[in-house]
Amino acid sequence: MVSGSAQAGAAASQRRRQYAKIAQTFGPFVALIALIVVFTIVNHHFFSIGNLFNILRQVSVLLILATGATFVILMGSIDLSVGAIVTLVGLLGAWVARKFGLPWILVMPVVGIVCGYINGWLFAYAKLPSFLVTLGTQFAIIGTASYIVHGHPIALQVTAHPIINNFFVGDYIGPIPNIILWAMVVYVICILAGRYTRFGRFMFAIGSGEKVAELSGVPVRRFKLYGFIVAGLLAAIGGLLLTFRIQSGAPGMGDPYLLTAIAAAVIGGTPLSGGIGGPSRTIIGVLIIGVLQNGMIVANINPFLQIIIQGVVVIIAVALTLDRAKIHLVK
Amino acid sequence: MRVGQPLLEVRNLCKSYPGVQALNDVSLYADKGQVVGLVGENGAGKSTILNLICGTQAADSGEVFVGGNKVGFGSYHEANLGGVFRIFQELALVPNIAVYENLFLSHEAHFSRYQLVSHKRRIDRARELLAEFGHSHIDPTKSTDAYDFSSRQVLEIIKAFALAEVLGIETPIILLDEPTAGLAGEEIDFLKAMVQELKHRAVMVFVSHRLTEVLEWSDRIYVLKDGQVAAEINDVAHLSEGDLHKAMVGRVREEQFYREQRQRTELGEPVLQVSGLTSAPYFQDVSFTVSEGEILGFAGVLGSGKSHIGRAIFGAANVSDGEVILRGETIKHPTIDQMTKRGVGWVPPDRHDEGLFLSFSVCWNISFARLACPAKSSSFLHLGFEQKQAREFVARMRVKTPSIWTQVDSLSGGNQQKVVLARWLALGVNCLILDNPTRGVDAGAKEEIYDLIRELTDRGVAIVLISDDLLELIGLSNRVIVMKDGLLVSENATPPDNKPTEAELVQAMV
Repeated sequence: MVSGSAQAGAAASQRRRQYAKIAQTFGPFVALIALIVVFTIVNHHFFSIGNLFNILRQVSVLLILATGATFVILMGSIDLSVGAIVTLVGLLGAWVARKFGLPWILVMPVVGIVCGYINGWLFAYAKLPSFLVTLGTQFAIIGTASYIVHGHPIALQVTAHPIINNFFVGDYIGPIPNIILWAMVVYVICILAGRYTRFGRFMFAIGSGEKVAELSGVPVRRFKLYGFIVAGLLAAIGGLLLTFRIQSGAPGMGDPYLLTAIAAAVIGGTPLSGGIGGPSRTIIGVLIIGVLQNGMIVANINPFLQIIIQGVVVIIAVALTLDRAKIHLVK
Repeated sequence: MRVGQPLLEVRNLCKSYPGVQALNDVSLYADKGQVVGLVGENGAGKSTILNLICGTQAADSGEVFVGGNKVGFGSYHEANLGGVFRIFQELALVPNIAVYENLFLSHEAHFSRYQLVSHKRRIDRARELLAEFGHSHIDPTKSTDAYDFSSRQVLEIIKAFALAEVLGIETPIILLDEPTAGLAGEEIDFLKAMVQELKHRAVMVFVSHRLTEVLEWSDRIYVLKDGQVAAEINDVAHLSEGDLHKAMVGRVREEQFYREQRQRTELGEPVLQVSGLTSAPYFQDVSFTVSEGEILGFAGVLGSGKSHIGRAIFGAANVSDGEVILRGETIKHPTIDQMTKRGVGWVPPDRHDEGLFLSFSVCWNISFARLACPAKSSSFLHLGFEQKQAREFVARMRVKTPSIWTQVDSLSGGNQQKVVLARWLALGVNCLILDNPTRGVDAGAKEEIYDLIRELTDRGVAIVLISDDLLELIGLSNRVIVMKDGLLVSENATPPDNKPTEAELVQAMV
């Protein structure tokens, strides 16, 4: 005998589940709108076409890096070397451009692939925790970059090859600055890869149940390696765009991107525990961070306070998204 | 029957969870010197009763009496203080601390002086207790994980007595929540002997899925069904497992349950041949053949190697010698991708750990084996086909789910198991290895799974059935191979009209 109240309870729990799911799906979106509204009220210049494009330009690099980070986080791993790869690509790219000519900077994605390969190999085949591996390679990569250029920033000499420069940052296609366009192109490719390819599904599967994936015939180690290679490649592409945007390679140029890339992925809805979310959601996280950074400047908040707020936002995002049922012990 | 106030009594307990009335007006009692068995299908309310008694959950209404006094424990610790102890399904001992520390965990205060806890007094007391219960071979100062599963289970029971004594409780109430789930034959007998010996010093409430055990262990039995007491049995001696089963589910067991009339007598070509297969140290020199439409059962106690045979054939465990022949093609060292490519599937015994992507939807779970198999799908996914196939299997296998996009985690055990099976059917198999395919599945879903297995054999699929449930093995299989200590010890024909009894198989197993 199931009483009427129990049935009502069942319906209520079903509803709660649905609400939770809706909150999970649309929460980040609502947060983004709320931020925009608040900053617009504080300073109506915030919501001007000029500033909105400004935000998009600012987040273009982050979008690419965060998408790369998303694949790694989907697997339940983490890549702390994202910012370091950006710095390496910037410094090495500018150095190569000066030494051999600007077109040589276009080989930088290979550098990203190599870095990703090293990360992935150490993680998947040498079976070291990804946290530790990438913490280590982060230093090694930054060290390598500084070693090559002796720690000095190098200006990008673009005058001989305006076409390449314009391709990345100079031109507008329609009203949209190139850098935004390229970021979107890369991003859309990543969404499609996440949704429509075996690679993408395997990233989800490794995060959701590595053992189950292995027992279904997935070459888990190989795909873990691929995941890190993709993250490395995307970090290099992001680094390349950044180098053209600031027209130089500078030590520490990638540092701010480490936390924000991971945060954007998590805020968007790919929890650190992996297995759910995906690249299609990362753009919301990227926009939240972009709006927050830009809005706090527009709202004239103390710059040190801005850093505190960013840190707090990251912790809140992790707390809201992490699937605690999956992580029995947090160590 | 009843003299005075029983030591443990619950009256009119009700408890509902969202969507389920877990307990509806349940009353029962237990007294010193008796082992009281609680049986019922999954979800009948056995664990809920224990939860309510030991304070880990609060009842909606109803009362619990201990020693004639009404109690309302707010936590497990309070229940301990009141003399109620529970032996949990999953062991509740901390593995990396010493045995004596575990025995008195969270009650160290009784051994303290000036706020300092005495190690020596705890160790001494632990040694005395172990000797008292006939386990003086256990060294209380050793780390707990130095002892095997069954010893630790015994330690849990000793712990209950140890704490009772420390707390000054004369007769502890001990709730045994499936204490035998992880134990093999002889260990179960050992535990049983211990419970029988100690029942005169305690009140024992015993919950198990294994009906034979409940019959053997209990002096009185309560049969639970849909959150209510369906039967209270005081005379266990004249009860058979069949009676108990009938009371639990209200349907006749036997041939009909296992669809024995559908067992195939005419078999086709050999599908899977195994010769001299060895996987040290789990099993040696195993040879057999399974043909189209045949179900070959594997029986054996835990550690007999039967489970590893399935893993080794599927490529999930190492093969040190011998070969697997699939439709004439010899494979020396099977790997999972080779096997899935050739249409071999494996349903693992533990679906949460090895069978399901818990954060995935039903759809993604069903499609996974197929899309992970390069021979059956390309690097680019065909999402339309994926959904169509998932819908098809949800309908065909009657998976009860709100939609194919529901997270598989929220389905019941039986439906989750159907999803695991559907994954292999979606791949398209001609040989399926099932390791305890109905573990933790309720009787209704079991029957549906049996139907499905029969349907597969009708279509010529060869099935290797590895199971701890002997009746299931006997009921379903054409032949049952018995394993012992990694060796194949006997092969028993089980034709539909002349099935061997459990006892006959057990003889070979132990």
